[in-house]
Amino acid sequence: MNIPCYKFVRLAGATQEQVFSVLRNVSFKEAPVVIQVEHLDSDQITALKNIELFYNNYSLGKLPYGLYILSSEKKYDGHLTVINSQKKLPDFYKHKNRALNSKENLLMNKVNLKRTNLANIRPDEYELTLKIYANGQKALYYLNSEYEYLKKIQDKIK
Amino acid sequence: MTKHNKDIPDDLIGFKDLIGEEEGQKTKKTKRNNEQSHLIASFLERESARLSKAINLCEDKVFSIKAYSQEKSLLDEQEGHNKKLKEELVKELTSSQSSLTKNLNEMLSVHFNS
Repeated sequence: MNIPCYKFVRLAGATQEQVFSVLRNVSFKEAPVVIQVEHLDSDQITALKNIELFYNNYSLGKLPYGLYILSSEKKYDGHLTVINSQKKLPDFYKHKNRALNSKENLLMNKVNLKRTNLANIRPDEYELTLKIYANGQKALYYLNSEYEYLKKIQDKIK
Repeated sequence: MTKHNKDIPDDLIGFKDLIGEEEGQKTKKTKRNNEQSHLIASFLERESARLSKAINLCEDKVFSIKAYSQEKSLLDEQEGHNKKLKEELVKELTSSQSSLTKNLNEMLSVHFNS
């Protein structure tokens, strides 16, 4: 049984066919995946757009594990997490895979059970609710900031 | 007997360092393995806790957010507070005793000699 540490995927090309054929064989629910596109040079933007298309088509979501793209492209402004160096990956999942002892196996079984439980919840069931909730909280924050600003003006003119 | 005891170390001459090194390496290896094992065990415990929180968020919290949404009433209440405060501010600023009105009057009288 493998612990959830980074799984690196190197794309062979940037076309939709090439990207989809590689990513279809990757399991995104078992570990955080890092897709490497930096070697594609000028085709990086095309690759990023195709990865985004795959991400949306298969509604991957950010749970249980995130998806990271390793790219030197600076013009990308989509919703994927793009980093330019492996050092920028979160340290939490930086572990070496090795055979587990009995105690670790026991813990890993627990993790697996929860992972399956989480993978069974469809992202479209919670993502929209969380998005609406987040937007509401943002609006509330802006209204509250406005109130604080007006209060400051009122205190100054008194 | 004493002589025999003294002989034992002599027999080990040439092997002493080797034995010592091997023992040292073994201790180092075991120590490293223990540390690694401890690190992975604590990582798995934290990962398990993270997943529990994520499940709790996606199931229970999302359900309560959907069923008992508070954001509309909170936003309405805050908007009401802002509106009230704005009205108070305008009232204070437009009154004849306000510093804004006084300053404006002074400035206009200087420039237009009224």
